[in-house]
Amino acid sequence: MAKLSSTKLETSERSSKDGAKDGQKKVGSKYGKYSGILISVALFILLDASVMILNFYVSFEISADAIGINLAGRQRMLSQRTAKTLYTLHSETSDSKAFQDAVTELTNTKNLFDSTLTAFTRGGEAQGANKEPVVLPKVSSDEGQNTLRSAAEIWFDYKLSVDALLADIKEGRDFNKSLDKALVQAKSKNLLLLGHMNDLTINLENVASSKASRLRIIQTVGISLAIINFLFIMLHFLRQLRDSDLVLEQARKETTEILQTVNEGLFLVDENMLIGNQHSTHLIDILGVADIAGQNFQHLLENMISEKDAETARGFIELLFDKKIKEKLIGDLNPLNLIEVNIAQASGGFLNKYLQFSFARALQDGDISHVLVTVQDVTEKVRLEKALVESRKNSESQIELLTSLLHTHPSLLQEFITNSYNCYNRINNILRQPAKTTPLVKEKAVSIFREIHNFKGEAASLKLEYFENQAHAIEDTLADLRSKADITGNDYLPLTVQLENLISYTQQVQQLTEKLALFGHYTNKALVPASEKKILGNRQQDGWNHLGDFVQNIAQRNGKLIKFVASGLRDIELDPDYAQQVKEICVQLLRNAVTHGIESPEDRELTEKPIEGRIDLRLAKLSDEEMEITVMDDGNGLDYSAIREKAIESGRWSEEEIDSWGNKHLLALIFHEGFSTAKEVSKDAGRGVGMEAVMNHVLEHRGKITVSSRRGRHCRFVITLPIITAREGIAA
Amino acid sequence: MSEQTLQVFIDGVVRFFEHTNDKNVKVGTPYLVENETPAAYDVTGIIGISGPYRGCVYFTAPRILLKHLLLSIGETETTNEYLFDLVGEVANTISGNARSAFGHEFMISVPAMIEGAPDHIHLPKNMRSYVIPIYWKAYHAAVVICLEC
Repeated sequence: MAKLSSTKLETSERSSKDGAKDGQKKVGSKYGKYSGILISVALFILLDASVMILNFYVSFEISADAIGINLAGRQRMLSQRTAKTLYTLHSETSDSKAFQDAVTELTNTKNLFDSTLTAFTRGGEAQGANKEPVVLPKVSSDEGQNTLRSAAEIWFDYKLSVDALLADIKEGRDFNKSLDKALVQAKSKNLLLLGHMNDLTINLENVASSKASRLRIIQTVGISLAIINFLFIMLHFLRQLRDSDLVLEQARKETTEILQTVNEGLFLVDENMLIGNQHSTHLIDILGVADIAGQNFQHLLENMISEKDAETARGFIELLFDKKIKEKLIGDLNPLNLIEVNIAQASGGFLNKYLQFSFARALQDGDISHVLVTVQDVTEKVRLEKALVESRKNSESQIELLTSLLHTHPSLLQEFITNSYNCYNRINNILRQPAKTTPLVKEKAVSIFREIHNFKGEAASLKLEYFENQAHAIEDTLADLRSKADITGNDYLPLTVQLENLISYTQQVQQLTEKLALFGHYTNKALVPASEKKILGNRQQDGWNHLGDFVQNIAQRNGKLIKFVASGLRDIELDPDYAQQVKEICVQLLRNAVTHGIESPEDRELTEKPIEGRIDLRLAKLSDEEMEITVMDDGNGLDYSAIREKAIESGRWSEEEIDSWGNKHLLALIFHEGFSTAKEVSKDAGRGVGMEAVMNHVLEHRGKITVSSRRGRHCRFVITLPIITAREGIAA
Repeated sequence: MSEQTLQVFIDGVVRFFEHTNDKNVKVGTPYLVENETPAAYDVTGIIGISGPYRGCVYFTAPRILLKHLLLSIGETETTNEYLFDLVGEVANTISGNARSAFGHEFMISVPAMIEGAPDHIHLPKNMRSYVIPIYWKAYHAAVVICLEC
């Protein structure tokens, strides 16, 4: 996709250069594909306008012709009226008023006929039907002019006779003679004149009718042309429109197909950080947001990445819109090149993804119009890479772990792990118990101390240093808690964190031992006969023989030389949980013997003892129900004065009280919580909980402890306990 | 995860209770619980966290505590809706406290309220959560934190 976007980019760059050159041309031909339709429409308008102008002109002419026809018709009537008035004059000589009216009418009729005839012949003003003056055009047709000429000839004599009559009447002369003359003219010419005026009317009508039919032809032709033009526009441009629509539709389909198919998220962002209307379908899946179109990109980002990163991204996009800055130069600055996004889920959690955003300028006419954003979901890739790194790291730490565990037999380790989990569970259960008062809260520290101290002993006996150190650190935390006056539950937080770390570490060890056991399982299967396996598993590697290592280990740490002699440890088969407790007792007593009992080689030399001290551990069956554990060392014996001093130091009892105590009472103090004669706290001594734990175990099983000691010679602990076998354990 | 980080979430809850009329809120000893069997009371408000640590933190409380808490802040309605809102408020206070303590590096989701325990979408099965008991009046509630680095 990166390739695709860069190709797009090159194309857009090239087109921008071409665009600059052809800018002018482009603007000129902007309407190129519409020029045809524009010309056609212009032609259509021109045609319609011409037809309209012509129509207007011809209809104006026709209206002028109508006046002519009307006046020609009036001429017919005037000729008849002239004749009629002459006859009236002839018959009405007795009534002077009627006579006078006839004279006036004759004068008017003659004048009107004469002026109208002249106007028709030469063109000019005449009186209209409404007595208003109208201008008549000269009659244009030859036929009309001929008719007019003939009429004028006839009218000439007729008019002269009428004029003579009117002159006689006006002068008061005898008019009978001139009246007779005029009547002769009327008789002979009236009908002729009427015929001519009739012809004129018909002629004028014909002219007007021919103009009207011409107008119809013009209108028909004009409208036909307009319709043809319109049809042309319709057909041609509709086709063109349909074609371009098809192309557009095709392009749109392709774009949609690309946007629907492409695996990346694609979208455009404008200068205001607004996302364009189109984006690839996959973007919704990648960003986990439905309505992306039109959203503000920065707001979208702020919901997925930290505000700081979103702000940096905004700055980067702003730079992309800055024309002065070269895109290649800032490419490396992309803050979203690989970013972890957290998409909030409706259920309250976050969906984590790794996304890769790439940005490219989109150019239009040489300007940066948008920034094309491509988003890829690289979660799987990143996770795989991380898993690879993690597994490499794991392998390394596992090898480290392995080297620290190699000296311990897998079955012992397995047992240790099981015991550890039990111990953690007990500690966790102590923490889980509700405790609202300070003493109850404080009591927890004491209980946990016992647990972790035993655990530390076991870890030390197996030389599992990491566990031992961690347990020691927890003991430190607990010591702080115990010394705190106003203790609250919250103070246990560091302890819980330590416990969690220890559990996590134990889980790692467990995974490794399981792998080792699997390996061992195959090798054992191949090499060891089935009958021997039981002995290997149950007898020789049952966790007792490492006590020797444990003793030597502590001796070495404390600079002592010791010979450890153990006997009878495997003679009694005990319930595994019970055996674990017995082991814890032994571990504690042995630890005490090494740290408190046996002196340093130098001291032993001074007291003429062999420089190598001796510790005996013996387990013996007293009866079917009872057994005895004896731990004896040939060391310094119990130092009662040191116990006395420590008791005074603790401030728990008054000095007088302590002075009154005998050795037996002082001895009881070593089983007290928090009481130790060690000068300082070390991994092996000084907490003062070990002996208390021993006592707790013994009391739990209603056992008995006997201590005998001789200063400078020896110290012996004899513990009597019941025998609990596996079957009894289950039954219990 | 450090105890300082855990402390931030505990402080958030304590802060909320300190705004009620009975300020006497106690924090119990924190313990661990396997996510296979998550710890929860009746109503739970969860916030998702992402960034250097990721996972979730939730406050869970029994109805009776929430009803009493509502009354103590002067609310007379104690319907389910109000209980959910209240748990959401506590979750919001936790988230606000975390936001001001951790800064912009972390992303904290809006609270989601559910009945009972969150499912394994929030609590990866192979992990453990820290449970910090909260004692208020005679009632027990808890803030549970499950974060991985």
